[in-house]
Amino acid sequence: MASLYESLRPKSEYIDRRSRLPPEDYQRKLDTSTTVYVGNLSVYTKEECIYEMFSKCGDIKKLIMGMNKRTYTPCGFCFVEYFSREDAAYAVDSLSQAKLDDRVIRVDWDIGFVEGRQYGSCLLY
Amino acid sequence: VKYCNTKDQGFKEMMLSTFVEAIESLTLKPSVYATAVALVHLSQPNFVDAICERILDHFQRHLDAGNLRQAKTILIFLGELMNIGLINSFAYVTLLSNLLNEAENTLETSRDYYLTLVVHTLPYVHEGLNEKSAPDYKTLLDSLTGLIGRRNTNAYRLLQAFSDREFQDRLVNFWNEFSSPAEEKPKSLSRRPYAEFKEALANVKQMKKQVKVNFNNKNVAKCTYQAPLDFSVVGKDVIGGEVNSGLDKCIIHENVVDLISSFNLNSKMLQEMLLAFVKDRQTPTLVLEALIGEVLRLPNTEYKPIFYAIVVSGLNEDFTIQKPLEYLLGTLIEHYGAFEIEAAERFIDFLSIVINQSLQTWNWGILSPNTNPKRQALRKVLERVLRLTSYAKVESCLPAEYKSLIPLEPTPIFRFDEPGSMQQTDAEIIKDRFNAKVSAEDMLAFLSSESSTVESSGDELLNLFMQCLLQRASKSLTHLDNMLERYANVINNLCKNEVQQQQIIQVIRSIWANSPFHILTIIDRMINYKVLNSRMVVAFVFKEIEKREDEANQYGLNFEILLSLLSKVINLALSSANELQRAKAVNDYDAVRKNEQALEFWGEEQKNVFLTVFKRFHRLLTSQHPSRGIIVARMRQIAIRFNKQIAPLHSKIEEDFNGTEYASHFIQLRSLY
Repeated sequence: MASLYESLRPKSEYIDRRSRLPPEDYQRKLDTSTTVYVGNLSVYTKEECIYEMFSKCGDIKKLIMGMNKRTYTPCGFCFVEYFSREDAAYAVDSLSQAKLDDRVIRVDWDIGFVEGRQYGSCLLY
Repeated sequence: VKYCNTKDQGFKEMMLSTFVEAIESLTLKPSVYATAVALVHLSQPNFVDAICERILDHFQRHLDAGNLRQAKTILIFLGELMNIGLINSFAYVTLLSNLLNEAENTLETSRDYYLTLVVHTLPYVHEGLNEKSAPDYKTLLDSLTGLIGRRNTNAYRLLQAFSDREFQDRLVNFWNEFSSPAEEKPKSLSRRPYAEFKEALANVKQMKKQVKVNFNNKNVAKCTYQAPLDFSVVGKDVIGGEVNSGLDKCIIHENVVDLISSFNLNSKMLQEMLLAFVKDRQTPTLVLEALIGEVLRLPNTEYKPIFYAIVVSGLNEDFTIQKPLEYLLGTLIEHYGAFEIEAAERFIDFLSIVINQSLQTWNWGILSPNTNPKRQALRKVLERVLRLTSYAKVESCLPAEYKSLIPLEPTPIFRFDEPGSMQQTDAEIIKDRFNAKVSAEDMLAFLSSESSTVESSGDELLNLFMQCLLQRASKSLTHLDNMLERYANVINNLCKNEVQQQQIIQVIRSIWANSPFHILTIIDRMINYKVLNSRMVVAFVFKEIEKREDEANQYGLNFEILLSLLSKVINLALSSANELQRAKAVNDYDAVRKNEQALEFWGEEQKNVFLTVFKRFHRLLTSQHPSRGIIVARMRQIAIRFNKQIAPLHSKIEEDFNGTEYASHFIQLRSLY
């Protein structure tokens, strides 16, 4: 039914240009990814709370908190990797626009965590 | 009409296929599309013949594949065409009779499929068939009565009944409401769009296309469907007099369930549709009841509780939903004690997320914790809410009467903090090495060397090492992962046997005695890093249950550990399968071989763990354990939650329980498989 309204193919509003992948490869990685990007988190939100919330969509393989690359403090985003794509799809669908610590979070597909991507510059807010 | 005669065959094909897809997919619109098709037929009969031929073809395919929602929608659409006069009423009754004939000699779960199709169509075609083909229609109803009567509604009762109605079966409820002689015409069905076009449609001619389907494809295994149980707490006279009849309620429930199934994994769209549905039909309580009913449905809800919780939270921002939501949640929590454990836990999960999403504005008065089982349920809800946000925030929102229900703020308790003790000295030495981030090899070499300054050894050393490691890891889950990644090998070297592995779990429990979340997460991560193995965790859990006969509260945590472990083992098998697929896709032969071995290992492990768990349950129950009630309930919970994985093992498990008083549970649960 949803196909009448919009394509079901996962698409990410965010594109990681630093990946330097051609668009087809980037899309292929999205199509098979089990990782989601979570943004607009409060810097005070604890890792345990994120883990608890996202584990309701399925068992989490790994949770990587985004950090300020200078201060190593939480930066308002994280990556959540699931064991299965179905669980990741639940997270993208159910938790986009959900609230965590009174902030509406953003959940989007991600091509997969690679060491180094956890560092963000982030502005204090 | 304007584009029906286009010469562009591609465009025409697009029109046809879009029309057909809309008809079979939009579950609330059959009468709208029937009206449109009938109006087009007045001037373009050939085009309508093409649509109907395509629709019948799709109907045949959905019947063969056992797709209930699409087949039901098409059948209702055809019924509306019959009401308008495009389809011969005798042909339509014959179609329904053929479906019932197919139900006659099939297995229970296939019979339900065909019965559900026909029963849910009747309210839409009742008037039309009564008017146009009364004798044939009466024969149909008689055979339907016989078939419904022969259904075994005792097949399973997984949601314990807590209302005063004898049957909780949704199909039987629907049929009873429909066939009740005092039934008024359902309001929701009286607004048919074709009534507005009565004059234009007075001259409509019957289509030449015959309405027939075949049952040559005898793959009835695909048409499996067992009507879910119905928990409804809402009586006929609900808030604001939402509905006039029991049949109205049944139809609205079905509409909502169909909507949920239509908007597969698109919660925003589902929310919009439900809001529109509520505003159009003025039935917020019934819509919410249908949604929450899906959360509680056993064995498998279509989506996880979080999906429904977020949809309901989104609806809750509309004030027309708030009061009905409060009424329903308040009523359900009163009956919490009557739920199967699996349904109860889903409800707790659902409620905790709904509260978390509107923590600042939540009306705590509706859940007033005055009696058990309400207090028990609320304690669990609050514990889950506390896991989702900061302690201070929740405390500040709670009224005074709830304060006694919230658990202590989780803080780790370390034994070696006693000043001057040997443990404290040794702990300082180990912690210094953690601070220096020494490698695992260096740490191992230090601990095992004769010149080591650490005086503890054996079990005491393991205990101390774990305490120090978990203290360092207590800052966050990332710290835990880093420490385990670095020192898993050290732990494995210090831990020589299964008894010591169980000791590790004891240490975790003693440190985080007031935080089940931390206990579960640490055990989970340790299995990831192969510090703990699954069979040992099972042995630990059952040993704890066997010895703590009087600590009923502890069972909750032990079983949570067990459930988490079973889920973990399944996921590790799944992960290996996914990795194998990825390796094959890129022709990485080494990775393929490695993942094939991993998959074989975890597949075997999964099977063995489940068999072991049920053998231990058997041992517990046949040893006259004083808390048999809780243990049986938890065993059923595992059988329900993991029914797909247990299906291939069910006959073996049932065999073990044959001859015991618990065999009936497995006979009852057999219908899951």
